[in-house]
Amino acid sequence: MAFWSLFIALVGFFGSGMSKAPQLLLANALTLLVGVLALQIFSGNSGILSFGHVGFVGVSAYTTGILSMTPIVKQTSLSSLPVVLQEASFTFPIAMLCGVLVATLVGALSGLVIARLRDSASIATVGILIIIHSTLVGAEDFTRGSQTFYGVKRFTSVPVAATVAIIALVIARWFRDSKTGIHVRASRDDAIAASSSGVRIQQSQFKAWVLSAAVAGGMGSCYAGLLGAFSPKDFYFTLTLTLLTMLIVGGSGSVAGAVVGVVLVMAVIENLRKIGDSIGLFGLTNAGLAIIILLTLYIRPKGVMGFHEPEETAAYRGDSPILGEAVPLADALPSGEQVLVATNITKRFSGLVALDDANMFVERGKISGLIGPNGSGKSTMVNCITGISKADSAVIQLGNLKINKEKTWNRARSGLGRTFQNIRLFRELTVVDNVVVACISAGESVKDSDKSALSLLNQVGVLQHAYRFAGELSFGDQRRVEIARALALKPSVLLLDEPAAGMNPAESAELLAQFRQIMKQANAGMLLIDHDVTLIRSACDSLTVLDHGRVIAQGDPETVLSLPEVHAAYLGWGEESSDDENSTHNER
Amino acid sequence: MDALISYLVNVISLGGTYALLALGLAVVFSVLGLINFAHGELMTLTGYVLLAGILTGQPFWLAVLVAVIAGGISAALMEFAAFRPVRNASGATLLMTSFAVSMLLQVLFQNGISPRGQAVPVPTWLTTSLSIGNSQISKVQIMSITVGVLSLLALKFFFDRSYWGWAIRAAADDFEIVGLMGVKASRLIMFAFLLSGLLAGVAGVLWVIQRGSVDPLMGFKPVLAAFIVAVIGGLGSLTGAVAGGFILSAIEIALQTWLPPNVMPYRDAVTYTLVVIILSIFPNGIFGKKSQEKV
Repeated sequence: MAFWSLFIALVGFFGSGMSKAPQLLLANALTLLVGVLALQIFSGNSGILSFGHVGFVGVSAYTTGILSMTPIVKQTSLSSLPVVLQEASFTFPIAMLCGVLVATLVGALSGLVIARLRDSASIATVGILIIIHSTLVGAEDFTRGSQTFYGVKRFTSVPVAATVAIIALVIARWFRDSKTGIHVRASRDDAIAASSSGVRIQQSQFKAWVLSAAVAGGMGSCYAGLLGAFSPKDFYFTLTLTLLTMLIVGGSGSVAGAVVGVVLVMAVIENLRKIGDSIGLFGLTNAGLAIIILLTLYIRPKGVMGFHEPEETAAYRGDSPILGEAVPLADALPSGEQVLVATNITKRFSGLVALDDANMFVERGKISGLIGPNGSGKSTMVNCITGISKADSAVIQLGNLKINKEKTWNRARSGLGRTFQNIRLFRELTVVDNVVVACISAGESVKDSDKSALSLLNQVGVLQHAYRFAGELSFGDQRRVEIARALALKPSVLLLDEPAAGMNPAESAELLAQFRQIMKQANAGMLLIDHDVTLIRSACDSLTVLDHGRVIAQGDPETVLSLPEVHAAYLGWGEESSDDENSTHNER
Repeated sequence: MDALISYLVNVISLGGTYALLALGLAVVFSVLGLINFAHGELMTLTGYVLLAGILTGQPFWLAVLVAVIAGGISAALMEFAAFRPVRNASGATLLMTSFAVSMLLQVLFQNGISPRGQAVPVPTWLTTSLSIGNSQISKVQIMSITVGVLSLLALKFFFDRSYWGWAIRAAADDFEIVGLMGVKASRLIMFAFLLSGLLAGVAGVLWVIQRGSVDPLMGFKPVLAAFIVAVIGGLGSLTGAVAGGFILSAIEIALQTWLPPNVMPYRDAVTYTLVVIILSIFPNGIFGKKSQEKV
């Protein structure tokens, strides 16, 4: 970040000595950079494309224009403006502040809706753009409607634009690694894993949206002072296309990408404009932008700079992190107390009853096993307990808390850590950040989170990979990271969904020893789902058997496993069977 | 009473067009997760083909038929040329790709044909009106209602009875499962684009005939509306697309008819604000189901 700030400062410094035309070009590029950074804050971190930000740019541009114009100019250009605004005449910084403020307010209002949506959020942002655009066109008293709004002082010199750009850059880079920024990025990579790690997705996205609207407001003020005269169509799809192209070409996932994208795309636009003017082709720039986007998406979908800041990749090369002191995980409590009691769980998927009045408990310091044939409802049980699926009825008691009405993120923060049957890590985050996501949910500061994340990674034995990206790790190491992430919630209960899947007996024995160790340290209870009867038998202190959504046996593993009905449902074909045979068995 | 009749006529004729467009979007979304910005340019293209047909002296029905088919074929070509390279990419990538394709096509139309609108000489028998009771209803509107309703019925039949209709409906539920059932993904995707192009074609012809002209940006605005329609209906829901079309058209026409004159300039803003409010009440759309991701 320091590098890019210095870069912009130097550009600003030398740029102000240049002749008029390149100065204008430079100020324009710096202004656009502010907009691209605004988009990066929301779209880059959340993965949700926004077509609405140009609307915030427009709102702020008009506000800045109206407030900074002298009353004399306003009498001619905006004669029907309300008297208060007619007489107002602020200096640029104050007008800009007001512009940013108005953009922030509009952002907050629209954010209330956007944050609630998932698949359709991008389309809703198109709606936001249309609303703002038609309001600007309609509010003739303030904006002269679709006619040109003129008379704004051209105060956006290169140093002004450079200053605003540096501020935007600092904000964007700070946000990326802030608590909310890390949470938003986690939700981009995997929404389900994020909420299971205590991320309040809606709230985090809302914050990102409002902050980015504010930064877009910064661009709007500069843009007003750059253009001097403009109309609502300057804040519509062409500008949206320009900003999005810059974001995508550079790489939406990083602040560095925003800078690189602006430089590259500006170069292309300028040349195309000259060519277009000389041969008289209409809209050559737009066509050029469209082609650059397509090429980028086809050849290098993550953009020139990829998803990561250069310094993140550099940290990985440096390897071997410095360890802080081990953080104590939980207060020592007497074991044996029931920490999780789930009763009366029923879940129907239209006609199919997946869970029928099932129940389950976990004791502190002990491992409860959950077994059953494929499709017997094991994963559904975990999903109902964690709140990923909404149970039709359930009473779930976690310690002294009744959590069956809570959202997933809140259950996670209350001490319910889990892993997934099909590994769900935040693939584009570093290994250490994967764990940091959960540490933040547990209430730690970003700085403390780093330390405790590293010590957790050490504990599960993947410390050497701390600064690699989670998606690059081997299968077994990814499982270990998932466990570290679950532990970072300081859970009182750990739910492990087939943690030994794909491991050979030696590996699963090693894993088991690790579990015992972890439980002792975390002083948590554990719910273990697995198919491997040998593992279950040696690991579990108590056992629950599910069949067709019903609990058919519960109690001491040896006793349970020798029951004839358990044999019939599950063990009838012997203990050495693989999963394949298992499913054949169920179809019989 | 007359006001009500003319209101209903307007709602049904505009809503029918929106529904056709939104259905086209929904069909492609079901199989690919793509929200196609360039759907509007298919409409525009149909308009130009229709114009070419009429100008070269073809019979009207033939010009219409060729135009609609051209819409279908160009959609399939578009899939092949533009969307195949990003087939398995994220929704955001797909959306951005289609946005770029849309912008590119607009520039192509502007330079290849003309940046200005071209008048489309609609046959004179279509331009007269009929009087029902005391209200005048133009034949164009009657035709657009008839065609809209017939197309929707034909589609319903197609979705209920035919193999590909079944496959697309199933894909809207769960694309992967359809693949497991032995339906070839590539063919299904190609077919979905063909169908969506035909729908855009029908909508495009109706749009052009009602307005009597075609221009390079013609398709952009109605497709933005159709986006919103698809979202309020529930993305990927075929019933939702139709319902959403009529809901948006009912809101739009009501505001156009009854909004006080001093608020009239804000009509679009009011319409879309209402839509956004509907969305915040039904985040998955009115007919959308909560996306059930397998964990």
